[in-house]
Amino acid sequence: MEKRIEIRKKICMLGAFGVGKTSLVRQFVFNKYEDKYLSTIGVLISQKQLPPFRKSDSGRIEQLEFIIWDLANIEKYNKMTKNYFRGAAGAIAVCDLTRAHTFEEIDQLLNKFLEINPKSRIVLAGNKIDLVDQQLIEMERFLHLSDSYQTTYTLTSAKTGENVEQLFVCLGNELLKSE
Amino acid sequence: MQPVKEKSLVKLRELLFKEDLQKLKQLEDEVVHLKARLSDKEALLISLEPIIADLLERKIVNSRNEMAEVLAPIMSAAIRHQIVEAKEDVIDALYPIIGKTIRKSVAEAMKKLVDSVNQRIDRVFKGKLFARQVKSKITGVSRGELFLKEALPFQIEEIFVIHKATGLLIKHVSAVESTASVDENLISGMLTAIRDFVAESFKTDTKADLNEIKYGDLKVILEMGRYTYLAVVISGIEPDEFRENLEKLERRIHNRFYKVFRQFDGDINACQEIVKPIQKFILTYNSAPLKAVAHSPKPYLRYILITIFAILVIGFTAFKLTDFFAQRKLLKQVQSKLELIPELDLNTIEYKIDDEKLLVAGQVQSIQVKNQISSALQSIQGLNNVENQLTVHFSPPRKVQLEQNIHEKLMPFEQLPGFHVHGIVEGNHIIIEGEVPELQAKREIGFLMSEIQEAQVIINNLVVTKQQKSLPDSLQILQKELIFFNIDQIAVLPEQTAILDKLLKFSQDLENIQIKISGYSDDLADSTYNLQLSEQRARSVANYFRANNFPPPNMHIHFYGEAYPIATNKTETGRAKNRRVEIEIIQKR
Repeated sequence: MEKRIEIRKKICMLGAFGVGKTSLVRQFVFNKYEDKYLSTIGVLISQKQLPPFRKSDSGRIEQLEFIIWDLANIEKYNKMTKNYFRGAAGAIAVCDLTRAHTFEEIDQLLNKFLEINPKSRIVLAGNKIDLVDQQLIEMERFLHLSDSYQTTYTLTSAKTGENVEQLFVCLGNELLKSE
Repeated sequence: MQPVKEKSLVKLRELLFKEDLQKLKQLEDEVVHLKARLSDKEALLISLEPIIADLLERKIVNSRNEMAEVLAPIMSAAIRHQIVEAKEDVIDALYPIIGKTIRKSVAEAMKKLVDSVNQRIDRVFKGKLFARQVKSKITGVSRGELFLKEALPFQIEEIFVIHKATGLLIKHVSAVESTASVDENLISGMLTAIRDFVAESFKTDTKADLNEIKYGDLKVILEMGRYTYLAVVISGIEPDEFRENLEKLERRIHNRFYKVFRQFDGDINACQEIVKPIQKFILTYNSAPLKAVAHSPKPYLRYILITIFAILVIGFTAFKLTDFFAQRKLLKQVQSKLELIPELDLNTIEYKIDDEKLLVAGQVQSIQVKNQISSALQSIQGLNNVENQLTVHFSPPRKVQLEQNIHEKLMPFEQLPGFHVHGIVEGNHIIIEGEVPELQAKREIGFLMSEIQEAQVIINNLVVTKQQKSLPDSLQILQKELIFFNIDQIAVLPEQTAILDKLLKFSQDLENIQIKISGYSDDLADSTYNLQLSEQRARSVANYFRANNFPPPNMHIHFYGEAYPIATNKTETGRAKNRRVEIEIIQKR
């Protein structure tokens, strides 16, 4: 049996209040979720293994395990947030497609996150796709945001579960590619 | 003759009374001596002491009760007086005596306890009695003490090696058999978060670090290294040299694996060998062999988590107590205000206070309710700011009413040739579908819809049937982008330049390219001013392209002022969308 290489990565959930960060984690992790963690010290830590991935160059099978840090009150950026960002290999930056101001907030958070982790990989999530139409002006701005950070993006719905797994897999692929 | 006679008489007297005279003289001397002794009280006391002592002793022996009765009040009064007058002296005098007495008393009590324990142990554990007796004889430690050591032994339960920067678990070695769980990774993350939390909350000038967490018999010791730290879960009383040896273990691990740690990227396979020194360390202290190693936490890890939470709850509460009560008071006020709005279903919204700013999100059934909420909340004292992020989700009756409203607005168009339009309401969206002959008509209809106050989002899906004819057949729009401007400003915002750069990059490899730049404004000023403003905005964009070597002859500038809004000018959000420049990349065929 071919040996799998286990790789563990810390990733952070970024996004303004109410964009659906925790709901996305809840959808993705599903089996291990404790709200009390979040309310106690301001961080919810969850764990999830991604499907095994065979690297095209080496041919070896790699098994990514995400340790997901979801921060409460992330919009109130302080030194504590900086500590939480430290050491993250990647982040999922979540915008609410129905609220344009969340794009500006994610922009600021991403700048701060990348200051601390300049080599980390980002995937942009346009959440609440179940509520919007892709012809909206917000959608254009979302795409511009994705372009400006040169990130891949996924349109998701934490409510219906649409593309949520895909979102995390996408970040996993980005991380494995960057190795 | 007379003197001779007298002499003889004296001589005769001397002969007859010599002995008596001597005795008399001796008696006189003794009387003088006795008088002298009686006048010298000290000397008299010395003389009488043995006699009186003897007499008293006899008296006490013969009349004990009578003596006690007589002396008790005198002695008590004297002792009381002495204690009051010279308390410190009395204490000093009694201290060594009492100390010795207590020590003696405690020692006797302990001896009795140990004897009692020994007896009980002998009764209960007869099978192990002999072995313990032998061990006791050899080591010189009592059987009772040996039993206590056996009952409460020191034990290393777990050792976690955690990457300091990321909080990722590098290795977990468990000393006892356990069931598989995912908690070990969460514990590593939480411990790291807690270390950061404590360091940030209670930081001092020194480079202090959290180094110990206690819960009942369990203790988590954190030994910091350069790249990693060890979290060691122990039970019982740690031996004196334990911390020192733990530090040595950390150094040993660092010396052997520092290159791996320095480049640690989450590949836990690279750290497999780390398990050996840890196992060896555990075996040094644990008498029982290791039953299971790695990837296997136990139920009591849950207690560690509970401990961690308990510590944090206490810390957090102490830290934020004032804020907490103030926020709770404000939240109660918010709730009571919201409860006064009859049409509002509180289950559909959520709210929280952050730095005296209230964020409200969720869904309400009408704009009126949303506005009522805003007014109600702004009347609360102590709330500096209210951010109303509520969206409107129309109730069925309101939806019908709204669709009727849309229908009335669209009716004039439906009668025109080439127009097939209708509007529907979905959630808080108004969706316009159908066909119109020109782009201008599409925009007009969009503008009309934006006048419906209850419409939060308008999706204009109208298809322009003759759109292709608005451009000559020889032209084709390849790309279209929008950039936005601040109120009354013409400068391209730095964050918007990425869009312009993208268009430049897109066009540079293409032939026969033209750029159409169209400027617009909101309706805050008069129309003449707005027209000039929109022109200047369009020219700002053109200047940017020119500065980036795009040939001016291929740029076409248009400006429309406040005409053709893409969103309502009645709200700031809408006006922000209208302050724009549209850029189209057009290719000549």
